[in-house]
Amino acid sequence: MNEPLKYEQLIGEKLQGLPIPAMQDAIWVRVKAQLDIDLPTDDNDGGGPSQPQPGPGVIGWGLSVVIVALITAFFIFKNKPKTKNSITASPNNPEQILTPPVQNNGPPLPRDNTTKKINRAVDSGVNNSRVPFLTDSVAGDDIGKVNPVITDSIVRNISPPLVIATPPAIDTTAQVKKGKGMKGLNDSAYRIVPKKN
Amino acid sequence: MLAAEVNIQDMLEGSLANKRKSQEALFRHFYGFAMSIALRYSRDEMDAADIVSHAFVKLFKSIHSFDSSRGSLHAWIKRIVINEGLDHIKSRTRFSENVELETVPEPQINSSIIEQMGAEEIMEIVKKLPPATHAVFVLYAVEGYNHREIAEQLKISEGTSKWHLSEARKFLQQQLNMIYN
Repeated sequence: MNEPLKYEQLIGEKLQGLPIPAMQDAIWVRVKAQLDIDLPTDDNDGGGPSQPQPGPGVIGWGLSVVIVALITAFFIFKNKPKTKNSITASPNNPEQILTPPVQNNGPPLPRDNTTKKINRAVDSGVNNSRVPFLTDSVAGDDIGKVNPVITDSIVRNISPPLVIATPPAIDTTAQVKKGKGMKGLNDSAYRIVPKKN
Repeated sequence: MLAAEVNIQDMLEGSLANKRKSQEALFRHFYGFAMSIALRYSRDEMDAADIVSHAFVKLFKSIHSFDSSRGSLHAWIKRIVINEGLDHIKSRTRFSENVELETVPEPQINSSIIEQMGAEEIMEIVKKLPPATHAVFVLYAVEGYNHREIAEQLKISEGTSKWHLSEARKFLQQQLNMIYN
């Protein structure tokens, strides 16, 4: 009774030869995880992934990113005040006189004190309020389409109309040209007249 | 001293020093041996993997208690894996103390039938046994324990161990007759 029967010995032998599933890697991961909790160790030779050490490459990349960010921030803040200046400068120069695109094939127009230089709007995106008008008939039309032809007879007989543009709305994109000298002074104010006895 | 023995001694010393590399080497060296034991006490491979992983954690935690003068490392590992397998079975079932037998009737099983069967076929039949009966049968027929040792191991009486063995034999006879008749 205390001895296994022959068929039981056969079963025992057969069961010794059961195929072994290849699960050692997965089981070792579980064993190692449990050992890390129960038996923590300082040695780093367990085959597991070591913690990434921040090397000089990482530091270099970090510094590069910081430097680029600083440079970008510098340019952004540097450009901001310029925009503000252009906005604040416009009210100081309320009268802005612009010239229409005039093709002058004849002799140059005589300069008159009352004639002011008309600047051409450079920016094509300028709205119509900034567009100067030459005459009433032209006013209101798109100045881009107006290209007045001035003949010699007109130049001789008619002095060029004074064209003064209304002050434009605040436009940050336009370049504001600062006027020279003081207002109300002309060349005669500086003329030295010898005293007559 | 053989090179393999030297290696095992190195693994043991490294494992005693709690070096993961040595512990992993020892685990991989004895994995097949431990898994073959665990498979006999489990219902499937996942159960066996649980048994093996728990057994090796216990092994490394108590490796300082291993005394080579009292037995081989194989025998020590085998005992740990069997204990873990039995704990696994105990967690699923209860060993009844109400049934006892003085003698176990011997079944009429033709050994040639077993010889024709493969290990996996036999294991499939053994797995059908109730867990407690399964454990007693494997301990008796495969591991070579006697009823006194089984009783000590499972904290049951020898009569209960005999009853489980009797039940196992009857069931196996029935199953084998079904297959070959």
